[in-house]
Amino acid sequence: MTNGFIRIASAGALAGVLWGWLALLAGSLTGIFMLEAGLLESVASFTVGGAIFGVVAAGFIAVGLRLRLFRRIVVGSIVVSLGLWLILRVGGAALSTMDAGRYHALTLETAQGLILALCLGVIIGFLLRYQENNDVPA
Amino acid sequence: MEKVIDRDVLWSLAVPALVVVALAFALAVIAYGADSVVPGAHDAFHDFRHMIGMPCH
Repeated sequence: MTNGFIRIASAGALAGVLWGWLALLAGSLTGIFMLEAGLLESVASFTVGGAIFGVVAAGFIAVGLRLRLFRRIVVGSIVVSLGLWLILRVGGAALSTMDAGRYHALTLETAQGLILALCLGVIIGFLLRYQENNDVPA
Repeated sequence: MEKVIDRDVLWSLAVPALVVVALAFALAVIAYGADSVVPGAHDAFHDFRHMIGMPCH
């Protein structure tokens, strides 16, 4: 399991980093939120944030696979990524109702986040499937 | 007496679980910009938080 976990966590971290850069690119292209930090700082924060999001998602995917909650790895990865994002978003909505001045929810940013969470699931899913098909060592 | 906690079990289950829980906590700190937990978390991940659709000011 440890080797399996390292393999899955590595895929999650790699997928998360790629996803972080995708989020940065997508955000810059759509202009839904204009970056406030410099490019270097943004790349660093999106890389770290994406990697953490990816490893956490991959950890839950590993649990799902172990418990046989889903058969198709890509579908399971999408469900887990969307579920994780949704849990965070519901928590954000709760914070928003408690402290509206501090936490504003914006519909377009929420929609972008939802689509990005879907993308994370797709990236992790395909990376895990690639590892599985090619028997990548830990 | 029966050995309840095996070292292999600890390494194979507990350590990965602890890593995921710790990172999930870090993710929550990042997603909500919890400066009270980690000073500077809000500013460091401000753009990331907005980009992934989390509420912020």
